[in-house]
Amino acid sequence: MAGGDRELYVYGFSDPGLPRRFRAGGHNLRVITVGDVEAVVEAGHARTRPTREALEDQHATVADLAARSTALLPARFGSFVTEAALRALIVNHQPRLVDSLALVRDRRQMTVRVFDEGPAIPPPEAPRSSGTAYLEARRARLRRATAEAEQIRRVVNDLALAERIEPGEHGLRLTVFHLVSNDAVDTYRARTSSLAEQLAPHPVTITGPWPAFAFVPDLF
Amino acid sequence: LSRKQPAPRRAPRPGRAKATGHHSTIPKAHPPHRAPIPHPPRSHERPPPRVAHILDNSEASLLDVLDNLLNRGVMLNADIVLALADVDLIYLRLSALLCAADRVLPDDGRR
Repeated sequence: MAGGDRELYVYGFSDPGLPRRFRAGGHNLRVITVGDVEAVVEAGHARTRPTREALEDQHATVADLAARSTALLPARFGSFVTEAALRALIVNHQPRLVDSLALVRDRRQMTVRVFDEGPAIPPPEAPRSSGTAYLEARRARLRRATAEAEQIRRVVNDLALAERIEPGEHGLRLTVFHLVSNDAVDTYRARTSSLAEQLAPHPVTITGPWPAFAFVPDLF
Repeated sequence: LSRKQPAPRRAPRPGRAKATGHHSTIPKAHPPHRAPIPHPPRSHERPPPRVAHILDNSEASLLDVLDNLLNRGVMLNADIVLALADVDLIYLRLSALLCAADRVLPDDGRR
């Protein structure tokens, strides 16, 4: 494979300002700049399955990057691409990337999870009839989650600058991702501490701050 | 007539990742009961907030790692060489996104 076709592992896209080469999370990274977007990549990254170790390693590296950058859009796990293709991708999606970087700039993701009360309910037998029933059940879960998320939104309405709702299953009722200003994280935590009472008897967990994983556009 | 020849350093294969017990993201038990904290009774006082601890720290961390990294899918990469009589004829590079449809498609945009 020619040098230009050598595949790079993409960790994410960032605001300009990172050093050309640096070390983060135990990886030797370099930055490819195209216009107002920087891609953080690693050459020679080993191809691995998404094992727990590999996932935790990438999570830690992305967290390290987010701490160094004003805005970071984490890439999907397993994103290998040649430099030429990466440059083309950034050129083709430059406006969307710039908008997404603006959305997450100086902000962090907070995650609220609401669980079913009591022990985890074992997953039901997969319906033998059709996939339609399965998809309809998923839609029903989404509708329920959207309604329950409204209760959470009322608590953090002025703090949550963006929101994404994921319906849960198998004991997890829903997950809500909020984008919060860096300086509002403590206030967000304080406010959401009341959710355990408000959503009782459903247990609630609040985690974060995280890089804005849930607010990345789908590029590749 | 043809053979598939996967390159040795190939893509992550999430479908083969072992689902071991400690990878579970499902809460397994009731929140542990906590001993009540001695408190002087006050008639106008609201009931104490219910604090739910259903995940220990490592489980919560793993759940976040999984959510953050896998929730929107993973990229699968593969190279396939189709050959005939030990002569490589066709090289196929695949790059695919493996993801639940509702993670990447707008909810109303589906058939």
